[in-house]
Amino acid sequence: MSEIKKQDDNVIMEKIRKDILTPLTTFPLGFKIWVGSLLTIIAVSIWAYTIQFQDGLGVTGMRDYVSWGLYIASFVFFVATALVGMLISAVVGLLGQKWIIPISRISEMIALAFVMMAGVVIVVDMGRPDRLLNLFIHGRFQSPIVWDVTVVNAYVFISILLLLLPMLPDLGIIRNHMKKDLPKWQWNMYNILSLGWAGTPGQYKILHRTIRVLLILIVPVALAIHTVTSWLSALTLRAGWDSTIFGPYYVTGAFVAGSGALIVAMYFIRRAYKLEDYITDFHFDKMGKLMVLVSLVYLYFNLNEFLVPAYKMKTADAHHIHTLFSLHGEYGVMFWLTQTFGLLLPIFLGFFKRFRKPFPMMLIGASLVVGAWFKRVIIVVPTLIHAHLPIQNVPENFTEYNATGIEITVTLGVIAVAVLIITILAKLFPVIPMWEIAEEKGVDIEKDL
Amino acid sequence: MDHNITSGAQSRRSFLKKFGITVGAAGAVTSLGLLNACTTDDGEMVTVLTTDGRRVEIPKSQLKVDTEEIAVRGREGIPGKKFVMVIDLSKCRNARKCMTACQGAHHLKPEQHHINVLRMQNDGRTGFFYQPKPCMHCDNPPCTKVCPVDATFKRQDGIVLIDNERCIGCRFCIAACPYSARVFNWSEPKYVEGDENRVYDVELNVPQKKGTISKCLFSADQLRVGKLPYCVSACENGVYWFGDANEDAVTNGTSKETVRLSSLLEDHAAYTLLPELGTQPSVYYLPPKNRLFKYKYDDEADDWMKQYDKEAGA
Amino acid sequence: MKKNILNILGLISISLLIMGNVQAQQWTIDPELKDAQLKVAYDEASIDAGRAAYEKNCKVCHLEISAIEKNDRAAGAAPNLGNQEFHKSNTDGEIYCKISHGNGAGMPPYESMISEDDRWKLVAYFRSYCDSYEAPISDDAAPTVVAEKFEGTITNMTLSYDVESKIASVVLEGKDSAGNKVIPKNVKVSVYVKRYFGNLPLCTDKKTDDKGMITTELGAVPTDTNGFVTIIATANDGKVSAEASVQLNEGWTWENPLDGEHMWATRDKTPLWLLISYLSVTIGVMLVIGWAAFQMFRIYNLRER
Repeated sequence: MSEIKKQDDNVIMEKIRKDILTPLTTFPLGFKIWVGSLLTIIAVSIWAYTIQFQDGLGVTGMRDYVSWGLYIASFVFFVATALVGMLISAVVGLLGQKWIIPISRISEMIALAFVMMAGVVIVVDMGRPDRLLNLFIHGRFQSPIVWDVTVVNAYVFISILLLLLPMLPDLGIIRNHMKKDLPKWQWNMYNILSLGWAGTPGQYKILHRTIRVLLILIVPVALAIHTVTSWLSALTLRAGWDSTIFGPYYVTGAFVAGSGALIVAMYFIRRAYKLEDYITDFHFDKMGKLMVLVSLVYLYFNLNEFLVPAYKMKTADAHHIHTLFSLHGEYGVMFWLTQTFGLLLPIFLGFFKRFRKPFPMMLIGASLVVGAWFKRVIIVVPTLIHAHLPIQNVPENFTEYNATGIEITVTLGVIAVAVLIITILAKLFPVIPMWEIAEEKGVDIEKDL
Repeated sequence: MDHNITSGAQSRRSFLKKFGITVGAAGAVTSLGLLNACTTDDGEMVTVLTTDGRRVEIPKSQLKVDTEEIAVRGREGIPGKKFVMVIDLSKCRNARKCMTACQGAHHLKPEQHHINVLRMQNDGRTGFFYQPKPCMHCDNPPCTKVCPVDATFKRQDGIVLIDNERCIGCRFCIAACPYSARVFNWSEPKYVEGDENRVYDVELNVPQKKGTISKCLFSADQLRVGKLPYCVSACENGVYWFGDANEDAVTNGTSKETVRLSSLLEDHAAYTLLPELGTQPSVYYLPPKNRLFKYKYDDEADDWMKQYDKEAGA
Repeated sequence: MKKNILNILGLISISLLIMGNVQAQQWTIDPELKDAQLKVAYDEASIDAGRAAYEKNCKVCHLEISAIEKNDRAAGAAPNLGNQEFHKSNTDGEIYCKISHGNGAGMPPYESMISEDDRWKLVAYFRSYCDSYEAPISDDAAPTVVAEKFEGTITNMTLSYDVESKIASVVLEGKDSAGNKVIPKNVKVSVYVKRYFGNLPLCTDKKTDDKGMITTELGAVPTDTNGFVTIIATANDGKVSAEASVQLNEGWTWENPLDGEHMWATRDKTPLWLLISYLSVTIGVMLVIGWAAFQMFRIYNLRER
């Protein structure tokens, strides 16, 4: 009996290995073009950044009034999207929802790549990046920036661990079966990273416990990173930022952005790696429903954030509301496009099963992500234009914000690096947790697979 | 009991210290006033005052500008003082001599304002008035709270300064300040001859440094030597009063007369800007009542950037 | 050559501009007041009241005035109203109208700010600087008793302060033109207290009595932390002065505003609750991450082949 089971297990494992590990060694033309384009964008943006480094931040469109622009908006966007790791692995995972198994590793890869880029884009925005060490030597405990740096770094480490630890059995599988298929350095890497994984009960026990503890820990840490990021705005005295609900507003927005990014990644990875057996239509349906849920919560916070000041029309708030809501306002068109395509339309479409199919979901996901980025611009820029006191005795361009080519190029470059990191991670490591799939299919995993 | 002293004794050493000059280790000034003059072959001799008022000559090489002393006293401030400014809005007629003097003293570009004269109108039906807006040097400063590296700090005399050798240019303080009092050096700052040789003094903050923040300093360098700030002295219309709240006295920049701060604030029902935000500013405004100048807003004459270009180019 | 011509042209145009500005002043003189004479009594009371009004309203622009021949201020700046040319070319009424209506440019109209009576007293004050002024004789004015002005030089001023009675006194000694000792009577003495940027006037309207002395209470004056202030007395418009450092009280304790813990303080003065929260959360998270790393090490130890 056990012999037959063992044979069945081997057959199952062989199929899993073939499906999931083939992409590690194949480099189709599409992949090369994709990576090539990303590298090109990155190269151009590095050149643009050197100009900024030499000439100062004046090469951007920021000035004394709108002193934060695309870089900070991108920073908020990166931190927001990075929360998807916590959302999928921790929140949904800890709730015992098994459907997230095939996509949880992708979400951790997205989380890691984006949170690392959050750290990078902050340095890009600094006026004196050469003085970065001052932050660690002279850091003040009272400053929200120091809190932000602390929690973001904590999230980076926890994300690395939550990417590596659940991957240990898979690394063992690669180490065991792919020695001849891989270049020596690459196989060595998997060998080392697998930490001598042998699938023993003792090891599994440690693994499960550690993962569980980290999943519990990542919930408050992830909430912290985005709440503290919201405090970069909410702890100031400006209309549009001086809000008590900015923490939950940002966090719920983060879930929306993150789920959109995950859906897009799911679609393209599934297509590129032919993983239709693992990331099925069912998963897109479930992600669609999750997306609708988090978007509804975000919509609730949006209503609170805008209707409450609009009802009262306090002086400074009134300017801000007018800028956003009136199509004649400076940011009116951007606001309504963002809210429509980044929130309202996805919610509406998500109610229909027809749209919770892979391709429509990918479009909706892309719309969510792009909308999320523009929404962060809407959060950051209009408030800065409408300070309490009038803007006078300065050049015309101080009263508005027009991002320059260099600024846009550098921003695109950072986004490209994030996408490149995900691409590389998805290429180097199996995107689907093989051992968990095997376990679901009844394979005895407590051995050296 | 009668006191019949006709002259106050002043510490000579502290007088010298005002200029950041200490005598090098080789020539320590003792309390007896004896100066150990080394008989080396240092050529040039300079005359200095000892602590008990005697004039002695020491080799010039023993004098050094103590940059650490400047940095420490710049951060600590002048003890026992609480500097406040009072701005009489009924007298301001947008002459902008204050803005010009300040930008000149701190090597600022025309669009960088440490003090900015704003045309204010509280309501569509009320008349307009000119309101000079320096940094408020708040007693609950939102900018100082958020700085991640202690580059902006509040001193014991109430002045909020910026250490441009530490600032990392994150611009959180600009976001935090509700008065829009801070500016940023977005590119190479304005160069004035001699800038490359200057010892950095956080109380003067010259030259400006690219990628760092700048703002009104209440001219801390002037205050240290008992002089009024640049803007206060430059005003021709008597708008500014400046002084020490602990002494209850402010001095007018134009007429140089000194009055009691408490009387001035009470008589005119003075107020501060945006008091509901809890920042506790150190700048008081006297209401623009009985404004002496009936003027119309002149688009051409009141355009600072155009006027500055004209004056600079002329 | 071209540069020189341009310079000259510039100079000419600037001069024309200045002269043009000067001529652009539009003084409004009411016809019925043009030849009017002083409408208040020309006595010490009026002059003193005029001086008070001057210091409150005019001094900011016109600064200190003195009896000189010609105006010594820069073109375009508020003139020195003690200059004799000004007095010769204006009647009392014209001065009054200029104060009241201004000139539509640098000199504002003060009729809504200064009462009619005070404006006439300002005229009286200005006229006190005019060498050749003849005051109008009004029918109902009582003959003014103008106290005798002290002629001679002041040789010594002694400034002292009595702690118990809290009264400061200034005693003057002088000599006449022949060199004989004489007591300077009726000399205006002002007492100030030294402040950081200037001197705060405490009394400005006292004149020495027959003993050449004035006394004044200092009133409530903030002292330094030891209770000391420096008081200054001047006489004869500042030509003679004396300083004294006096102790008014026990002093006060200065509390350094940087002493407490604040959100805006430097790092070493972080509020304790924040410091504890931040450190415990950070260290706690680091410990858990370290623990997880240690677990990885344990997994490695359990490897079998």
